[in-house]
Parts: sequence; C-alpha cells; structure tokens
Amino acid sequence: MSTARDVSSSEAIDAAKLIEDHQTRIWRYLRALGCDVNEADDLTQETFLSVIQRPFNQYNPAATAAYLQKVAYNRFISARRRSGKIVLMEQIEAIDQAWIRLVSDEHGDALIDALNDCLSQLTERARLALEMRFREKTSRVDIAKALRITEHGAKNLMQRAKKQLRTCVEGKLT
Amino acid sequence: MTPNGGKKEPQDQILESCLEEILGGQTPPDLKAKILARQAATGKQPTAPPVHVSAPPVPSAAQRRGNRNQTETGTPARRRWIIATLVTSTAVAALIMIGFQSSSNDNGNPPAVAQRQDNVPSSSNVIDTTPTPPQSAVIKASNPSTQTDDAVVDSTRPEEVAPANTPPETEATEPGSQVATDSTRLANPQVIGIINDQIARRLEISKIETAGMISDETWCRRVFQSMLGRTVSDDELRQFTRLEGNRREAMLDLIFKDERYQKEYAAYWSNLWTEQLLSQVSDPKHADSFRAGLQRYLQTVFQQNKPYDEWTAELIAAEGSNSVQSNDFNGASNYLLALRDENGVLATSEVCRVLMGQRIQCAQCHQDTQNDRGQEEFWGLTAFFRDLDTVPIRPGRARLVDQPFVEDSDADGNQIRFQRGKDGEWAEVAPVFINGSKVNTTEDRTNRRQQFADMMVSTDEFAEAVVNRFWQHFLTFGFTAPIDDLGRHNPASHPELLSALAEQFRLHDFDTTTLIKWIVMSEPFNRSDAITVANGRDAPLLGSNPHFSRFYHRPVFFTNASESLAGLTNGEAKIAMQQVPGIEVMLNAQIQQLLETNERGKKNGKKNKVEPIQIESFGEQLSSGYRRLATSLAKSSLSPEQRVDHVFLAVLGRLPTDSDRDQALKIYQASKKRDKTPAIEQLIWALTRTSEYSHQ
Repeated sequence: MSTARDVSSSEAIDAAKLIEDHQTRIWRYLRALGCDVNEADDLTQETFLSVIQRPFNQYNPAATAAYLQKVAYNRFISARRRSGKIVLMEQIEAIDQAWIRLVSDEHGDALIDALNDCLSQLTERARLALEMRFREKTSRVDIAKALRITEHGAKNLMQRAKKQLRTCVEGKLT
Repeated sequence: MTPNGGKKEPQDQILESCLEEILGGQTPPDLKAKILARQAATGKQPTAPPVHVSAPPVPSAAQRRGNRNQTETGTPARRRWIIATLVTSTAVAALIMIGFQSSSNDNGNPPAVAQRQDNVPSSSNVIDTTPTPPQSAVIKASNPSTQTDDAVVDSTRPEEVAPANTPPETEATEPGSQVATDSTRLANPQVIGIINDQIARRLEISKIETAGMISDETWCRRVFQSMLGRTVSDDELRQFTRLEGNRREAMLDLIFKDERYQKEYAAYWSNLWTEQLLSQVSDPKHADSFRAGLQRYLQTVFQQNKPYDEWTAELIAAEGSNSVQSNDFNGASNYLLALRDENGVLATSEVCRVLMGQRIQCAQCHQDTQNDRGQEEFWGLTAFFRDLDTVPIRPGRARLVDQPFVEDSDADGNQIRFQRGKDGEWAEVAPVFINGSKVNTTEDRTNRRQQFADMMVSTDEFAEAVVNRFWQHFLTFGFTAPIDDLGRHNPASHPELLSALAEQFRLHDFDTTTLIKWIVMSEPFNRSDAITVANGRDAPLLGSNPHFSRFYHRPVFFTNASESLAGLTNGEAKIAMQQVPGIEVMLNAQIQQLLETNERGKKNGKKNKVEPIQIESFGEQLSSGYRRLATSLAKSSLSPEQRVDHVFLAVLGRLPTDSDRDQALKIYQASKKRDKTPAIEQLIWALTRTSEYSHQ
C-alpha cells in the first residue's frame, strides 16, 4: 500500500521541463512584485536553481507552480533585505495575494490577453497616454504637452485609464 | 521597476508590469539554457525526493525533561545557530558598551547615549543582577557592517518551503556561530536582554523611536490587568510601593506564590485557556459541562504550575471519565470529549491550530497551496485521533476510550481512506505526524494519542505557538497575525526572537511563570503607550508588523471590565453592558477592519456581504458571559444600532464601522422574532468567528 507522498515521482526532477513549464509565470510574478527586468532574470534563475537542487515532490502542476512561486517570493524578500532596502511586507503580501487571485493559468498569459483586450476598450487619448508612458518612457510633462492638457490632467487621465483597466481585467479574470 | 514608483494598489503594480510587457516590450526571456548551464557548473544533479522512513523513537515528556540539562541533541541546527548568534550579539553589545563607557569616562564627556526619560526605571530595577545593554550599545552591535549582524539579518531570510521535509541549510557553519553552538539554558536577565536587544534592532532598522518607560505604579496596574484580569486596588498598590528591594520581582513572586493571588491567578488563566482550547466544540449542547470540567482541571494545573508540555500532553493522551463520581475520573478528558467527532477531524484541526499554531483544516478537502500541505497530511494526522470514542454516562458526562476505528480504513485500521477533492479518487494514508514522522502501526494502537503528544511537544512549532500566544496576551500583538497561523507563509515580525524565546522556554522546562516573568520584565512591556511623531509609524492596527516601540493601546474586554468593575465596587456592581456609562471611552477604538466575508458569501461571489447563517442555537456555543450579555441587551430599551455597538465593544473591543454596522444589522434584523436574544447571540457568534477576534 502506498501513501500519497510515495505516489509522487521518486525519479530525479526533469529540470528542463520544469523550467520550460514555469519560467514565464515566475518571471512575470517577480516583475509584478517590483523587480526590474534584470533582477527578475536573476531571481528566476536562482529560484529554479535552488528548487532543482533540493528534494522536491511534484504533486501536480498547480502545487508545483505554487511552490515555485513561494520560493521566488522568498528569494525576492531575501534579495531586498541583502541590498539593504526596506521591505514593506504588507505591500508585498498584498501584491502576492492579488497575483494569486488574478493568475491561475500556467504562464500568466490569460492576464496579458485580458489586459490587451481591455486596452482596446480605452479611449484613444487614454491609450495614447499609456503608450507614451510605457512604450516611450515619456515624462508626464511631455505627455501633457503632446495631448495639450495640463500635467495634472495627464496624471488624472492615466489614473482613470489604469482604474478602468483594473476593473476590466478583474471582471474578466475573477 | 515600475515607472511611477511609490506605493500603489497591488493590482496597479501588477498591471503596470504587464503594461511594460505589452507596450514596453519587456517580455519574459527564455532562461532555460542559462539555468541549466549554471546548474551544470555546480556539479550537482537534480535531486529526488527522500524516501520516507519511520521516525526514530520519540522520548516521553519525562525522558525529555531528564535530558534537558544534558546535551540538547534534538535541537535543530537553525535554532541553535540563532541562539548562538543572539548570545554572541548580546555579549558583543555588552563589550562595546563597557568600552564605550570607559572611553567616555576617559574623555570626561557624557556618552552619546540616547537618554531614557525621567521615569525610566534603571536596568537594575527591571533586571536583577545583569543589566541589559542599553539601546545605544545594542544599536552599535546591530551595525550592518559587522559580521555578527550580517549573520542575524541572514537568519531572517525566509527559507524555501519544500513539500518534502527538507532540513534547513547549514547555517550553523556560518561565521559568527562558533561561540556557542549548543543550546544553553540562559539566566532570566540574559533572556530579557535578548528580548530587549532584538526589539531594539528592529526599531533601529526601521528608524522608529521608542516611547518612554512607565513608572512602577503603572507597571503594577498593567501586571494586575494582564495576569489577574482585574484592576489593582488602592491597598494593593500601596502595598506594592512599600515592598523592599526589587519590588517588581517581589510582586511577581507574590502573585505566583502567595495564596491570596495564586487562586486568582489560576482562575484567570484557566478561564483564558479554556476559551482558547474550546473555542470550537463538536457538541454544543453539552459544551458548558466540558468547559467547566476543563476549567477546573486547568485551575489545578496553574495552581501547581505544571509544565506546559506536561499538561498539554495530558489533554491529548487523556483517558477516563469526566464524572467526579467515577473511579477513573480524569478532568483532562473534558478537552477531547468536547472535540470528539466521528472521524477525528475537529480534534486534529483544533489541536494543531491551538497547540502548534498550524492551520491545517483547509487540507481536509483540497491541496492547501498557501501552507504547501496536501490532503494526505491532514488525513494522516486524523489517524492519531480516529480511535477516540466516548461512552456516555449521563448528559454532559462521558468516558473517553479508544476503540479501533474500522470505518473508512483498512481491515487493521492502519490505513485511513479519504477522497481527493470533491469527486476525486479515494486514497489511503497511514498515521503520519505533521513533520512527516510515521508511527509503528504494528504496535498497540491505543498508544496513538500518546505518540502524537510526545511528538507534538518536541516540535519547534509547539514552543513557538505558546510563546507567541503569551506574547500577544501581554503585548496586545503577537509576532504573527493571527497568532495561531505560524509558518513561512506568515512570517513572524521578529523571527529570531520568537525562535530564541521558544528555545529558552523549552530549556526552562516549559515553565509558564518564567515565560511571563521574561515578558513583563522586558522593555516592550515597560514602555508607555504614548503615540508620538517618532513612533507613529509603528501602527500594527493598520496591518503592519508590530515593532513594540510602545505599549499598544489595550482593548478592555467585557470579562476583564466586568471583573475590574466588580472589584472596584466590592462586588456590588451588577454588570451589564448597558449599565456601564462611557464604556466607549474605556474601551479601545481599534482601527477599522473589515469583517471577514463569510464563506457562503465568497462562494456565491457576493463580496463584503454577511448573510444570515441558518444555524440554530448559537447561544449554546457561546460562553456564559456572552449569553448573559445577549439576554441583557435583548431586554434593554436600546435601539438595534446601540445593541450592535455594544456587541462590537464587548466582543471586538471597538465600535463598528458604518459598513460593519450595516452588515451586523442585517444579521440582527433577519430574525423576525420578538425576542431578539437569538439574533444577538448569532451576531456575537459571527464576531467570535472573525480573524479580528482571534487576533485578540
């Protein structure tokens, strides 16, 4: 008779498959926590390296994804502490919880797709403002000039757009 | 990093990272080759999960006690390392202080030490012989550039949580751990020094200043409120001020040893523990009998100052009847009699939650991803309680026995069957303890609860859970919130301190009076509750981690208020909430917290709505104090809103927010009966099931 623990694979972990299956989601998760691209690259690598070098039961894909996410979370906190940055645990935990609520698929593609959809529902001006901000890294002052509004107006426009996106995405995913 | 920076809504930060991906082209890279190359460079192969073997024999509580003064071989390396680091850092701090003092004396200049306020007791007043290093020394020692502190900071690094039980990495070999690698039973002043040191470190890192210290008289009032649940009388205060020598030590000795206070102390703590242990019961009809029986048993426990590990093990392994007229009377049996259900589910989840700080009930039905816990773990644990059975004697009286359990198990009862998920396949699991230890199923099965108790008291979680509970009782907030949910998913605010205190508590034979002494003599307990600009950021009521820079405003709860008022009026006060004018002033106005959405609301996708829960006889699940409150309020001439306010004050120690009040009124008004007692009982019941209530 075997227990459920024993049911899990007793063979060595297929590292390549594990990375293939989960790297995108982990990278996106780290970005959502606040990592820049380089830091997300590094911590994703560290996450997988630590996991594949230690005993690890793969119950099912969801449990594995949750486990990897937890390791990535811990790596992120450790990295922040090592760098001497103040870690606002409450904020990080809130992002973690929001992520769990929003992302349930393997790679996190559903969130990206939903956001893409929602972007198309924005007004032309709002989408333009966000594109300038995120694509071209334009400053708020320049965005205001381009749209012929005040800086405060540009700020409000983008805030409203993000709020609309948030509502739209949550409506699609939760 | 996100372009805007600063604090945002969590969803906004997620969306911004996605916008950077969609609009900014920052897409996820393929890191497989890099990772595999780095993996190859380490020369290590991916590892397989360990093969499970039966746990080595666990010594009994008495054997452990006998071994405590010898080598502590059972101590995990992580904990030994933490203790060693703490001792080292405290010693370094003391040395720095000595050097610092001598150098400042040489110069003839006053030391640049943050001066305590005028009413700050001297170290010798708080600690008997070995003064705690002043904060300036502590702060110096915590300079991140020092090796010792690097080690301490690293110790806070959350470990990866492997589904299998993997040992922590070899921190014991890190630099700075050579001073004392074995756990050492420290003297009380040293333990208090560790508390002060660790709290000061975090405050320094967070750049939060501390409030001033309280006077002896205030300390005495606080101690009476926390240890006896009532206000100190004028006579007692006068007596305290006349005590000679270290009057605080003397006062504690009086409470622990003097017959006048000993009974009161035992009554208060037995009441508290009964409420904690039996907040859930399987048989509400007879819950009062079990509660009363358990309270009587615990009263003896606290009067005799029985070690915590002994009496908790007695509760779990208890056999016999709860009827005093029976030959096999055993008051400890009341605990499991109250928790006994058909398949040991309630006993398992409550024992793990209250005594080990582990919330495992989610794993009953599904994989608990937050705690990384599978259904096998839950059902493996229930196997320890499956044999539990009762033989009724008369209503409220029964005998606790062990009967081999065969339903939903194999022929020998050694494999428990459970269903995976809602409609999943059936699986089997043998008794497995929370740390993965298996029991020898060929042995006499009646020993299983004893085996569970023996394994339980040996775990880190067991000691940490009780330390956290006591800390929260005295300082309003525990190291975690909620206090009964320990684990890497819920990091402690001061993990090293929690671990060190738990270890010292174990080395001091689980003596709760010693634990209480450490806490009430420590600086956090001795700080004033003043909120200043310098410590305003330390606001755990707003949800952040507590820093203990001040004594947090303590809610006065109904039971305490009743006892205090009765004491002040020589027992003449007839306590009913509506008869206490200005109770709002007395009680703490805690920061608003949304009530938990009840499970039914979640399932229906209706957020932030409390629906009436159709369960009858809420009153039977409530303590007699709350039932009296409900009856009293129902008979009063107060409006529904005022009644709701009183219930919030009594249960949560705060007034309801507008949203709370609206939701509570829905529960209240759902009852169409003229007698509103059941509706108020239902409301009280609902509030006692919120996480806010359990945080208290």
